[in-house]
Amino acid sequence: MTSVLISAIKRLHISITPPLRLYSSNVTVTPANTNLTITRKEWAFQPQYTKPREVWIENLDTVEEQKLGLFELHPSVYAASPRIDIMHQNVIWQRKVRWVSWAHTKTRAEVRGGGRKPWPQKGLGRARHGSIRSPLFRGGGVVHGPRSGKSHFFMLPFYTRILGLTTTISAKLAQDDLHVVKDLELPTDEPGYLEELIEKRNWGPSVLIVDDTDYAPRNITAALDNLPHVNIMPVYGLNVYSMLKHDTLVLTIAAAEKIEERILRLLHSDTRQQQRAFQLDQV
Amino acid sequence: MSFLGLRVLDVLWKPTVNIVRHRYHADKTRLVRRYGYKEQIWSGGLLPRALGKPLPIPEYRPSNAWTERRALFGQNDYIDILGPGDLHPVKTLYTVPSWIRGVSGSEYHILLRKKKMWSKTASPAIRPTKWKELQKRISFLYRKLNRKTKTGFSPD
Amino acid sequence: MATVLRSQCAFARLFVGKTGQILNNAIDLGVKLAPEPQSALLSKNYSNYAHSPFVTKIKKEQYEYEIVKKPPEWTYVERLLPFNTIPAVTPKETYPSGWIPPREEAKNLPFFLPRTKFHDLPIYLHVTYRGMRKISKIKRIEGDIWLLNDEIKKYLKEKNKRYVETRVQEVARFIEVKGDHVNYLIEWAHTKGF
Repeated sequence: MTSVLISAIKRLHISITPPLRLYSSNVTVTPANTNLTITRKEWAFQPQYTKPREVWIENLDTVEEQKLGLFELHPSVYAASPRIDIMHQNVIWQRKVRWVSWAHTKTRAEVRGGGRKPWPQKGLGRARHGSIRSPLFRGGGVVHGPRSGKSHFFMLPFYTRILGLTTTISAKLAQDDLHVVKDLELPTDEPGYLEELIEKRNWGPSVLIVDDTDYAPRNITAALDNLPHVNIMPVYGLNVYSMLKHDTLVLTIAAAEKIEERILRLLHSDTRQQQRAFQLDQV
Repeated sequence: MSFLGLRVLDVLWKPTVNIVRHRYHADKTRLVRRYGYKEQIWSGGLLPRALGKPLPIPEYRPSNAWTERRALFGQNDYIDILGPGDLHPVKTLYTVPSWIRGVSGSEYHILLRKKKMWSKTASPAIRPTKWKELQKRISFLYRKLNRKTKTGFSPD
Repeated sequence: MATVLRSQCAFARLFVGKTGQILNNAIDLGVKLAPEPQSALLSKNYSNYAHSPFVTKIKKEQYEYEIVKKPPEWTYVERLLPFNTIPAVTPKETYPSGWIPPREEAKNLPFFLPRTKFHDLPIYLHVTYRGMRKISKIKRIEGDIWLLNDEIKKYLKEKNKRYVETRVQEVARFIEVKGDHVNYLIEWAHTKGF
């Protein structure tokens, strides 16, 4: 309790010096001269040492970028160390978890025919053989060939996967490839508008848009139908592979907060259930 | 007569002789072997293959990296972290058949599981040959793994 | 023979239904049915029990109940529910377990060692090669990791009266110290207020 009080007092001291700063739970301050909204957040688990990351809130309803406000992101989620090895492990896992090899060869038992002895054992001067489907024969069975249904499944440890998400999202933010937008309302359903917007804002060849709901506004879904390189996903669909495949990650405010809330909760709760070794009957 | 002429030439013409003491390599002409033979084979290096049938190189068709399947590859793989928490990502692998979804094991393990799950279906009755081959393979692998494979030291 | 007949009879009762006349004399019925080909129903397999015709759908809500909201009583229920997240420590003068709380002034240092979610210091001992190699590991270091490395090296040298080897992983944010120095490291962390 004392530590909380001390931190509160400390924050009060800081809040006096810059005029825009105001620390309280999700207070939005609108200064008179600009239309910027500056959001300071009060998380359930306050950042201890590393400062929260600040991002601009952008808009999608005009082609030109407008900065609608400032937004804070928790450093445990958005300022993780850039672990390329963890990202690699995650991508490999994502590729292998669904990979089943269906390559198949038949053994000498499965190739049709070959039950009869092709020629007598002795007396012909030929090599002795018992079946025309032996692996020595053309059209015979295959030894040690691929057998169908080869699974490459494995489960990556729970916290490696969480760290994969945080490190990738932090790397995106650090490289200025993560943008937070207010909402996904577009003025038209023309795909050309979105293409122009991406070109103008220098978002690169592909964009991944993440919203917190399953239902996106009509205009953006209609526009994205004809843009294969711009994709939209709900928060629960977000993954390391897609983040790395797309150049730019666009989060709505609600999505950014939801990702933060989910990962922070897991980082501060008892997750022995999720950390157990994967068993087939658990799913 | 000719002999006389030669004698006269001998007397009258005394050629000056320069003794060449060194014959430099650069001055040497190339020794032509088999003079008059016309080489049929081209030895001047590689030529573009203009004449005749081209080699069967397949036409380059780059795959579209942004088909829906590829663009959304890996979606829902973190659904247990970012979702409500009651769904495991293995449950979302809809493209993988149920008898191999989330299974990791050797061919023997997978076949045993396949047999267990397929025996409940109509498969043994509808595809008797397939079923028989499955049984044969399982019994072959059982004998191989249990009687013909050295297992080495135990881990402890 | 008798058992066979009985089973056939049972089968007939099941599937003949209303159209077939069920006789009281079971053996007679069995004899009658015996020459008939065993119908397809016998070998019919369903993919699972739920898909078989024997299962009828059960209504979702079987019991009637009403929801009553009583906040003062609900607090007693809440006490029994498992924690959603690991709770914060209630501050006390002393802790009987010997646990030492982190101090606020540690946040002003150029480096920082946060507590884990279980409010412990992230300092661990890794024993490998059947106890032949012991490595103390400090994890989750924030801030200037090289300065922290210098400080612990100095501290451990004073304590052990010999040079102690360390390895700094700057990207993964941890330091490994050769040998079992976990108690010294925890002592050092407490003096710094972590």
